[in-house]
This record gives sequence, C-alpha cells and structure tokens, in this order.
Amino acid sequence: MRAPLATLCLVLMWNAPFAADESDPYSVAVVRSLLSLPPGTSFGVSEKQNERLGDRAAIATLKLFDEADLTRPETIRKLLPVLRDSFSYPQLISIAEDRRPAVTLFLLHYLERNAPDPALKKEITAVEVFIKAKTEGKAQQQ
Amino acid sequence: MLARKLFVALVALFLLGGCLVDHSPSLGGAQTNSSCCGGGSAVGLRELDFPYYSLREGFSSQLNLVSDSPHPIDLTIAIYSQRGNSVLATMSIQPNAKLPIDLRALLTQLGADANGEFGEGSIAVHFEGTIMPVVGQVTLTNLALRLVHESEMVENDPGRTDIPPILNGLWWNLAPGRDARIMVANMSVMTVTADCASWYYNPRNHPPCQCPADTSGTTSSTVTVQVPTSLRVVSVSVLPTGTSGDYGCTPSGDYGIKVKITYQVLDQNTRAIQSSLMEPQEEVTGFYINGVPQPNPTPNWAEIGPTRISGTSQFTNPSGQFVDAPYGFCYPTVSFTSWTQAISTLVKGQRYTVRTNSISESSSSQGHGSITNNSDISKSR
Repeated sequence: MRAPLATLCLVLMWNAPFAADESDPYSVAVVRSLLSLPPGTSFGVSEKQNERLGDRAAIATLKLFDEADLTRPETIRKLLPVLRDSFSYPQLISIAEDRRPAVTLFLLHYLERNAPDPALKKEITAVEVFIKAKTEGKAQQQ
Repeated sequence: MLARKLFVALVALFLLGGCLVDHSPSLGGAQTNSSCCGGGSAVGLRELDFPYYSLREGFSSQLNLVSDSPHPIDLTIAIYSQRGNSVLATMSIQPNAKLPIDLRALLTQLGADANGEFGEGSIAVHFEGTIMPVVGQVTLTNLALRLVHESEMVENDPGRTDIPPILNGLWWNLAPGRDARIMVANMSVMTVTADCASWYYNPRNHPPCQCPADTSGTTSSTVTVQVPTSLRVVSVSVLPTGTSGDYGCTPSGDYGIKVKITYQVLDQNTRAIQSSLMEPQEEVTGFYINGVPQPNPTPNWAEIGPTRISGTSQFTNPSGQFVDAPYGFCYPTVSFTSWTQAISTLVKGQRYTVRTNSISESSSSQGHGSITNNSDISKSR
C-alpha cells in the first residue's frame, strides 16, 4: 500500500511547478469548497472552478485526505462527482499539464482497490471510464 | 511659404500602460507561461499599435501587414480618431502573406468620416497567436510634397511589451515654413499623464549647447482615456434545464435557476469601453445555503470565463462586453441561497473593481426559481 502512495507523491511533486495560483498552488481551498456543497446541488461559480481543475482535483484530494479517509464510502462518494466534473470539459482545464489525468487515474485505481463495497467499486470504475473517454484524444495529442 | 510648406510628422507614442505592465504570473502565467522572452511560442492575445496615420492635407496612409505564420490569422483592426472614438474591422491574413490595407478605403467602407473626425489617428491590430507572427507598418505618402514616411509598429501585449517608458524622436532641417507635429497616442485603457517635451535648437547649436528661451520649451499635456469603472447589464436570459448544450439546472437538481448575464464595461463617464484587453474576474464571499455559511467558492480572484456556456471568454470582446454564465444555484429540493460577488477587470496586471452583486436566490417548486440582486438583475422561471 505504501509503494503506490509514495509513487503518487512523486507524481505530485512533478506537478507542483505547474501550479496556477501562487497562494493555493494545489487548489486545495477550491476542492474543499466543492466538497462542502450539499449533495445534488450545483453552484455556477463552483461549477466553473471545478471544470478548470483537471488533474489538480486529485492532487488537492491527496492533500486533504489521509489513507484511512480514502477508504470511507462517504468520502469516496463525495469525491467522485468532483473528480468526474474536473474532466467534463477538458478544453476548459486551465493548466495544460492537468489535462492528462495521470494522478486522477492513479487515485481512482487506488480508491477502487480499497473501496469496501462492490456497488461503490462500480461507481468508481464508471468515473474512470468517463475520464478516459474524455481525455483519450487529448492525451494522444500531448 | 505655403508652397514650401513641408509637413514633418514626428510620431511619439507615450504608452505609459507599457510601464505598468505586470510581468507577474497572474496575468502571463496561463497565457504565455513566461514574463519576458522565454515564452515565444505561447499562443495568446496580441496587440500591435501604429501610433499615427493621416489622410489630411493630401496624405494617404496604407497599413501593411505581413505574416510569417503557417496558419491563417484572424485580425481585428481598431482605427481610433484623435478623440478616441473607434471603428472596427475584421479580416484574415493568409499564411506567409502580405496584406496591404488602404485606410481611406477601409474607413469609407466602415462608414467613418475619413475627411473629418477620422482624418488622422492611430491603429491597433488585435489577434490571437504566438509572439509576433504578424508585423507591419503604416506608410504615409504625400505625392504633392514628394514625401513618404512610416508610422512604425509597437507591440503592446498583455504581459509583454516592447514600449519603453520614455520615447525619443529626432528630426532635423526644420526651417522657416516647415512644421513639426508631435502625436501622442494613448493606447491603454487608463488615464495617463504624459510629459511631452519638445526642444528646438538653433542652427549649428552644437554641444555644449545652450537653448535660448525663445527657441526652447517644454509642454505638458494630459491625455484622458477610459478607466474601467462599472458594468451595465446588457441582457439576462434563463438557461433551460438539461444535460447538454447551454443548460442550467439538471433534471436531478431542478429547483432554482441559472442564468446567462451579458455585461458591458463602462468608463468613468459611463461610456462603453471598446477593448478586448480586459479580463473579467470574480470573487465570491458571504455564501449561505439555507442560512448556513459555506466556505468561499473562490478563495481568490478567479476568471469569469471561459466556461461550458457559449459566448463566454477569458477576455472581453472588442466591444468591451463579456458573458457570466452559468450563474445561479440549483438544488434537489426547496432551498434558498445568498452570496456576494465582486467583479473586477484585469488590464495588463492592473485590477479595477467594477461591480458588487449581492445576490439572493430561492426556489419553491421543481422547475422554478428566482434570482435577484435587487437592482438590475432579476429573473424567474
């Protein structure tokens, strides 16, 4: 378990120089705000922020949660829409490097392996499929 | 004397906006990834300024552009009169092509008065591309006077400019019956006080020179330009429920409302600022859902566009308008929300706060909702 997380941290370090906002380079505050919205709600201002994140949403997630948090179904269910919406419109992602879902797919794979319930695993896989479909062409271009 | 009258135009461009260019990543980061010279291949909005053209007193002026890009480039050409009014034209320059534009013909085609207000002025060429794929000059010709001279280009891009804070001009052979003219063109969108110093030396007055009081002088002039000061709501339309296209709420969260707002940036005299160099940003605070405070959704200033909604963009369009959408809140049940939105425009690193919206929104049943700032934004569905 530690090896994948260590690799993940390396990926994080690789992404650090591409940060958009100097005061919140990993968009942690934005993701925290997105996760605090009640389930099923949609705020236009937050929606814009979410769609510009791309891979940064997963990076912020790793800053916000520890290993134990990332195995809790309620945490995973909150995370999935944020990770999904981060790649809904890849052309809106503000940093080109974040259009490649490297950290996101790594995180989803980790969540899927550690999710306790099969239904949740299916939800995670669905998000993974969605993101791959959205970014396949883009990744090839880069 | 009239026969010998020679018009000598010395064009000096005092573009103090160039001094104020912010080389910080906040402006240049996403667009150029470089503060100066390293981002040569980044695509961004570019502006070329030509500080002077004249169609007066027998002069004709031709704008000559040349592209070394392998792709066609769409251009927006803004021609400014001396009073600062402008007319816009759009055209394309083909790959590696030259594009000569006769300014009298273009102004006539645009319905501008080439013999009156637009008889002389300046030109700005806007396009999207890498650093300097298009360059050019304005050639001013007067056949009767057998005179040809150029109004040279200066690059005036956000985050990068080649305009120094002090511009010098040199001319010689001023003799009785000859005129000199200094044009001061302010191509920024802010008020600039420029010191226009003109020194006239006596013949053979060689260093160490003395400038007799009657042949030297300094003049100052203030060039007043438009400063982003406020926003006017041009239109507000409701975004329909859906999951594709320009949708607002989704079928699974169809309480509330989302709208599309078009704003016009106004100056200190409530006149429209026709510039595509303004970057609208927002900061949202005081966000409540059903009376419960929420974390700030934009902890820092964030770009209003582009978004998934058509018509949104990072910068204002050439008319100085921009779209804020999707704007509003949708919930899966009856709720009410409120928030405060500050809107600013960033111009070459300088921020101008132009509006604060105190919004309240509510919904009492599915498919319905209303939003208002108790002023010029009010919409229901």
